[in-house]
Amino acid sequence: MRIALFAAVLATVAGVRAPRAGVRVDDGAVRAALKDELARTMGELRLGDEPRPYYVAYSILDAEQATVSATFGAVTASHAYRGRLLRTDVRVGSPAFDNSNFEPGAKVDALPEEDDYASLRRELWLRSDEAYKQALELLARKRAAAAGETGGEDDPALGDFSKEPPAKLEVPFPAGAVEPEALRAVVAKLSAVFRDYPALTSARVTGTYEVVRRRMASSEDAWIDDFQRAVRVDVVAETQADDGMRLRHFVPFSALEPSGLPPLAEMEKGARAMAAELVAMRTAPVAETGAGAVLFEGLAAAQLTKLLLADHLAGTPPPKTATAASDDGGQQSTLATKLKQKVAAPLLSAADDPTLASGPGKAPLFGAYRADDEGVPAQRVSLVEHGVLQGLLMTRTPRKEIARSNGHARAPRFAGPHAHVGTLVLSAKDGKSRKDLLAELARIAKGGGVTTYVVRLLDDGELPVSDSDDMLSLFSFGMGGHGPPPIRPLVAYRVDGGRETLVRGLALENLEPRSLKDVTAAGKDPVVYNYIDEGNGFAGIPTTIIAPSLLVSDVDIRRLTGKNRRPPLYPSPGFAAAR
Amino acid sequence: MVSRPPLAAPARSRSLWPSLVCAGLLGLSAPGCAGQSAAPANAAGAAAAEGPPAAPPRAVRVDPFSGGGAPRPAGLNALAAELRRGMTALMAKGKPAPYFIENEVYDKDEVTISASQGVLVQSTDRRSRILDTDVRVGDYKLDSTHIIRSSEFDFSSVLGGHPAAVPVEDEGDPEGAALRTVAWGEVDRRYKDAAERYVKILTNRTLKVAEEDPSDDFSREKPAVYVGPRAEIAVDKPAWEARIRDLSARFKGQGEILDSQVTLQVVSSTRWVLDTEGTLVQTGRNYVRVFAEANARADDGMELERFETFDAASFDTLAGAAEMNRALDSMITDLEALRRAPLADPYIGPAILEGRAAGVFFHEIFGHRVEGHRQKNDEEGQTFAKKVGEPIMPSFISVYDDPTIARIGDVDLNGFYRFDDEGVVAQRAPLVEGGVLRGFLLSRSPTRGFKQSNGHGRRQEGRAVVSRQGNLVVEPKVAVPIAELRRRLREEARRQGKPYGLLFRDISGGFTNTARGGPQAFKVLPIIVYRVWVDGRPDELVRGVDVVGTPLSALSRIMAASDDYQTFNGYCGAESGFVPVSATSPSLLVQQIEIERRDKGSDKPPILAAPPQAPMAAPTARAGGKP
Repeated sequence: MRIALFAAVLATVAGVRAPRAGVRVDDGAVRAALKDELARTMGELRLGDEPRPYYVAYSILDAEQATVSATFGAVTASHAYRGRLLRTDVRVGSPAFDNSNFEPGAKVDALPEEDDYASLRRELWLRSDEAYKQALELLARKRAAAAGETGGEDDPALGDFSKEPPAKLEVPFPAGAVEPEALRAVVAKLSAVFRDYPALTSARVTGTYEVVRRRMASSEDAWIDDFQRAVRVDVVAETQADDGMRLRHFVPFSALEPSGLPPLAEMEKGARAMAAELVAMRTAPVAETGAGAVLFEGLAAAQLTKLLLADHLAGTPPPKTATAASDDGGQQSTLATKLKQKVAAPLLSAADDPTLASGPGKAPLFGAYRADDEGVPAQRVSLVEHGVLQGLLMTRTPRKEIARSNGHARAPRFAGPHAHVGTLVLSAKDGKSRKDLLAELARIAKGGGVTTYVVRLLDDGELPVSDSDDMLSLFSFGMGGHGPPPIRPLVAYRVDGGRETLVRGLALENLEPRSLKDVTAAGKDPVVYNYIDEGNGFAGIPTTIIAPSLLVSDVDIRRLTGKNRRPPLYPSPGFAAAR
Repeated sequence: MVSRPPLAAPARSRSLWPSLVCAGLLGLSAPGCAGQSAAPANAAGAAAAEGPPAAPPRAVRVDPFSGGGAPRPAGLNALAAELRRGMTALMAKGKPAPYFIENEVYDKDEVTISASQGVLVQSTDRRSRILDTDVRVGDYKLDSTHIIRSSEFDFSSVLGGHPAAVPVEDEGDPEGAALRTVAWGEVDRRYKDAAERYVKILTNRTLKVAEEDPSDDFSREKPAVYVGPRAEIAVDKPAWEARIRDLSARFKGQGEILDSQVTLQVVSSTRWVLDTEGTLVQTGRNYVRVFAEANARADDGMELERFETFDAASFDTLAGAAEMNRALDSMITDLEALRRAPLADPYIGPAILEGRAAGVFFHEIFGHRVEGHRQKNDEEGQTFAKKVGEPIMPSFISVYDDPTIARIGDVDLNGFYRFDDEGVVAQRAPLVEGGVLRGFLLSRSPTRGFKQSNGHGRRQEGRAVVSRQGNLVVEPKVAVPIAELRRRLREEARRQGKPYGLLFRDISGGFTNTARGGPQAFKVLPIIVYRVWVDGRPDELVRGVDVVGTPLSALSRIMAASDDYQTFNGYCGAESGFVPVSATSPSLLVQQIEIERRDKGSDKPPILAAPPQAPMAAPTARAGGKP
């Protein structure tokens, strides 16, 4: 009884949020349970003569998610999901040498979603006990591995956990439930657009709205109570060319809440333009193999920036022992060893700035946050200045050149944090207009031996994979070759004498981080690309890339060959009756 | 061995999924040992059971065709029209042409409510409609589903299922046009898969020696037409949230219990099956399940688990509150007793399998081995393939599988259905009569001597159909009271020179290797096992027991049965996914069971004591004061 009374009192006092029908909400109980069990874990948890924890952090993540999918105007799925997770970080040893950066040791467990002091403490007690035992085991294994190896290049003074000021952050949590109804009409109507395109073999629209509240408490007295929101509406369609080649196209819309999405008419226009381009692609010529110069514009510029830059900026050093396989795969990122070296054309600069509130044209940014998942305040990091690498994304795992975190420890829902971009802004000196960029392409073409293209959309792996046929094509695609995996443009135009011709069936080869040095010109109107990186669906890391059009002067174009399945043997039933 | 709750989040702790966990493990090709069984030559007469004639179980059978004649939903008509259109077009244009197309739609409404320690863990509601499409190219004798024997891995075999999400509501798709468009794409795609595979099969056949079983690939069946009512069930969510909270609160304050959870799962499932032979079926049924799970850890690190499940086809027939409370309370006392129970020693000797344990035992070691497709595949152990007409068990035992039984005693059966996933009417499959093997569980894949399906072709949505169990029933001809069975257990133990016999109350599941690659053995995982002492001491609970053995040997050594039918309801996992099943058996006395020690964990119980129930220093709470 006393507990129930306690809950009632605090709910009235806090009064931030109307409790959802039937589910007990009590912010005070959550905070008290976190602090009390944290104190007990730090003060009393000890196994025999083994060391006590020297650092403990708990993050409670309350995810509310609504998803609606529709095809040709009819809803195929509509559900709401709520779930609470606990991420437990227990460190034993010392900041100089602890159980981290060795083997994946992230501990994430589901928790009851109701706010109940006793139940939360019980869960924290059990999960801390497991995490502590696991940490002791990891530390012992890491010590044994380290003892069997020579120091190598490692700086013995280089620790495992940097000292940072504890974050204090409280953002009032907004009222309002996350329900599929908010997206239902938009998603259904948007998908109905495709009834007018009988040449499509499939067309799907999926809308997801998610709000994640985070409460984090650490033994260093960090306290974070904030939240992150994201809406994405993905429109995906497929068709086949007469020779059987499968063609796909997509257009994403993003916002921080459903009311922030573009007006329906504007989204419908985007979907129609996409469908029309996809249908036109069926009869477009297939590209030719050869040397190329490519202007990446629109989403393709941001996607290219992800593939060539954003995915390679983690500064986390490799694990101290050779046999380890850390959360980062046991290896350093490609750019980690290139500090102070030229990594891009001098006209390019890049910074990651999670503190940016909005992008060009007041665009919402998925990658905005104020404190990272280790509780370190987010900071702007200058990464590339005039082509030279000046910084890396850092967590609290230090490296020789950079001893401190810069607030870029970010965690997918079900794993531990690692160094990851927030909002990456790529900028160019002397940004050019589209007309000037096309002129630059023409100038390159004039030299001879080079075919020029404009690429507007890439298959960057963030696209929802549709079916098992794709799995088969993945097995056979890009295997046995050398170099980086080829990049497949979804929308490409060949530019010839000022004329742009839609083409299909090409792959871009040998594009890798060093290709940024081959960027010879860039645009002046940056595009904002919001996506959820890693992890399935919305369980990944909300990320933003802002990039201008990029002209890469040296790209190998390969014509995609191979056997295609025949197009459908009989036509779509169509929607004559419905219209 | 896949056993995870269908949650979007990671399973809470180490999940104990109360189901019949079983799997026909895939193996490499190696000579089987099916022919060299350890069964004594006089298996059937090994133990001449004595006792009065046994009564059959109180079963309620349902005529699969009863209650039909419901109006055909618009979506079903649209799908049927699309199926006809597709068949006509592909017959004309497809080279090679298909001879059979089936569509199956699973329309499911699922409510899940779970709680732990009196606190709501999750409460979700999910609606989905999934379309499966099967296209066959060739003819009934040899078609595109034929097994390809090759050393190269056959990708098409693992990509057997092809689920596609289709519109869930008729409101957004009044004429079923969106549904038809998705179905069109699926038929086209699956036709091409089938045509490509068929060409490979023809090549493969010219290269390999003749197969052992020359049966056809697809049986001819009379197409069923039946439109039953849609499944519907109203769930009073607030009331059930309260009830599940209350149930889960019974574990509160039980210091030795670590993780615990109680879950209500309500599935309302409507299926459509239609094919180009004229089958057109709509059936619906509800599944209501409450399951409770809890675990504890012994001081030596062994993890101990206990679960209870209550399955029913409606809220009306679900166990009442008193029964559930009693069962949960006994979980607590069992776990406390298990924590203090001695470790079992390896042992070979007589044992009683109580009804539920015997049901699971038969499901695992017998049921999976009489699945028709296993008699056909050259890589399978085929324990029973050539034993039809031969005694394989004592003569007082009969075994059958009958999906048309809706209820036995007071228990609704999970394995009740009217038509299988190939649209074939569900039928009783006689498996063993008077100890003699009579047949198999059959889908439309014929096997030597069995040309017709008996309505056991089943799958989880998105998988390829194989033959599976529905309601397995073990029925003895003679039976004795349970007290007499215990007396005979002691007597047999004494005769064998053992100080005690064993009594198995609950088995959580197990696995059995049916393929030729590994040993043709099984392992089942009992949870509650007692020593029954010859000298009359009280029964003693032991822990850490696995039962191992070979099926022919185990089955031939049943000595006697009791008259106390018990049913285990669960979900069984195998090649075609998870399907709801049940197993019913009386308690059985077995002459010889072999147990070995279970691999135990090494983690100690929690270091610190459980935390207090209220804040250590909670001025805010006190400030509230008592009213």
